[in-house]
Amino acid sequence: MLSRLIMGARYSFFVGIIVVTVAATGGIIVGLIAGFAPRWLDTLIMRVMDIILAFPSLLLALVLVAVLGPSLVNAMIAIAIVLQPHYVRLTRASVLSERQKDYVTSARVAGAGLGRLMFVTVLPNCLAPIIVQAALSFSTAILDAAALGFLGMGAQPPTPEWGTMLAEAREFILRAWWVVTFPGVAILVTVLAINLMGDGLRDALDPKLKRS
Amino acid sequence: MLKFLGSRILTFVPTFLGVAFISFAFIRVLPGDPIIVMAGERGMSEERYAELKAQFGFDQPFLVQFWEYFTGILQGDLGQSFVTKRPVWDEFFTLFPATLELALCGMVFAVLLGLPAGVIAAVNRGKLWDRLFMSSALVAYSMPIFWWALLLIIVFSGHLQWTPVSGRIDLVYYFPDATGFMLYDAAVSGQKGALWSAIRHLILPTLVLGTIPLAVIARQTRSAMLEVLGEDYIRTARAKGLPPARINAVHALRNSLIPVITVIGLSVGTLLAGAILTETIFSWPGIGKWMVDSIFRRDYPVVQGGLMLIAVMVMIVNLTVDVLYGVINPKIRKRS
Repeated sequence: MLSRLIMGARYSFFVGIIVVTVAATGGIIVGLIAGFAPRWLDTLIMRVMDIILAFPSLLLALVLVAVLGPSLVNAMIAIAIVLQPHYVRLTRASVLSERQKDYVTSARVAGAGLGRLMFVTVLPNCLAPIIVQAALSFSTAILDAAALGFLGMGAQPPTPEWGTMLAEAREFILRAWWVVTFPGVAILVTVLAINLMGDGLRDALDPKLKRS
Repeated sequence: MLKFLGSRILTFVPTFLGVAFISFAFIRVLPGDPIIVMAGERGMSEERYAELKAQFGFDQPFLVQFWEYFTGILQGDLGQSFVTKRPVWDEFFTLFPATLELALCGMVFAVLLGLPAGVIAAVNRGKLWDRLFMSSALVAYSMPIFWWALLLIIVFSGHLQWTPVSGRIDLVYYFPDATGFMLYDAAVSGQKGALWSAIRHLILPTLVLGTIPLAVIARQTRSAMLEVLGEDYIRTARAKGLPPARINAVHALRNSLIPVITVIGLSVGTLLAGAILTETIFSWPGIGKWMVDSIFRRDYPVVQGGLMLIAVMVMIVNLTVDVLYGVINPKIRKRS
C-alpha cells in the first residue's frame, strides 16, 4: 500500500505538470492572439472560451474522456482543454492593459514586429498573474484527475493512481478504513501544499492582490 | 438599465448556439455506434439496422442533423432516451428538483457557516480564531470531496450508524411526489417519520457538497471585510463611539457583501451542475448521477441533451448574477 501510494505521487505530479504546461502554453498563445487581433477575431475567440466555460468543468472533462476513451492520457487532455480558457482570459486581460502603455508604443516605433511585440515586449510583463494561476490550477488538475480516476474515467486499475485506488477501495470502506483513508490523505496533502505555495506566490508576485 | 440588460441578453444568444453545437458535435464523434448499442447482445439484421439508422436520421449529413436537432430544441424537443424511451426533457425535469434541493441545502449550509467565519476571522485578524478558521478553510478548499464523502460515510454511517448511506428517503415511506422536493413532500404527506428520514438522508450529501463553497465564501468574506475595515468611514464610525459589533455587522459587512454575493452566485451555478461526484457517491437521484449513468450507458440523446440543458442552466444563473450585480452596484452598470 505504501509503495503504491509513493508510486502514485509520480502520476499526480506528472498529470499536474503536463496539464498545466499544455493548458498554459495554449492559453497564453491564444490569449496573446486575442489581445492583439482585430476586434472580430478577439470577439470570436472570447465567445468560444465563454462557451467552454459554460459547461461545468468536471462534466465537460467526463464527456471528453468518454469521447476519447478512458485512460490517464486522455483524462489529462480533457483537463487541459477545460482549464485552458482561464489562461486565455487572464492573458488577454493583462495584454489589453499592457498594450496601452508607452513602452509598447516605443517598441513599435523602434520597428519591432508583431511577433517580437507579442512575445518579447508584452508577454514578460503579463506573466505574474499567469504564474499564480498556474500554481493554483496545478492543484485543480490533480484533483480533477483523481476525480476522473475515481469515476472510472481516468487511469485504469491496477495503475496506482490515487483516485483510481480510492475507487477500488470503495467496496471495502466499512471493513478496512485504511485503504480508503490513505490515498485521500495523499491527495489532500499534495493539493494543500500546492495551494499554500500558490497563495505564497500570489503574495510575492502580485502585491495588488495581496490579502492582508 | 434596459440597455445593460439588452447587451447581456444579446451575448447569451451566440453562446447558446455554441453550447448546443458543441454538445451535439461531441456525441457525433464518440466512438461506438448508438444503434448497435441499442440492439444490445441480440444483434440485428442489415435491413433493420438501415431502417433504424434512417429513423434516427443518422444517415443524414452532419449539418443537416444539427439543423434538425436545433430546430427540435427550439420546439422543446430534445429527443428521447435510448434506454428508457422517455423524452430527455421529461427525464431532466423529474430529476432536477432532487439536484436543486441538494444544491440549495449545500448553499445554505455554506453561507450560514462561511459568512460568520469570514467575519470573525477578519475582525480578529492575525489572532487565534483567524488562523484557525483560515487554515481550516484552506484544508476544506483543497479537499477531494469524493474522499471526504467516503470518510463521512465510514464514520457516521458505518461506525455511528446515524445516517443512511444512499438515496433520498427510506423505502418504507411512499407518497406521490407532488413537487419533487423530498423535504416538502415528506412534510406534507403527513406520514410519521417521513420528514425525519428525508432530513437524515440529506445531511451527509449537504455537508459534502457545501464544503468547498463554504471555504470559498469564508476566504472571500474575510478579504472583502479586511478591505472595507481599512476605509475612512469605518474610522469615522469608530470615532463616533459606535459599538464595535454594530460597526462590524452593519457598516462593514454590508459593503463587503458585493464580492461575496458574486462568489455565492457563481457557486450556485457550479453546485447545480457540479453535484456529479456527490450524487454518484450517495446514489442521489439527480441530474449529476443521471449524466454519469448515461455516459456509461452510451445513451447519446441523454448525454447531448443533458449537457446542453446543464450548460444553459449555468448560463442563466450567471446571467442573473451579472444583472443583479448591475442592479446592486451602479459602477458596473456604467462601465459596460
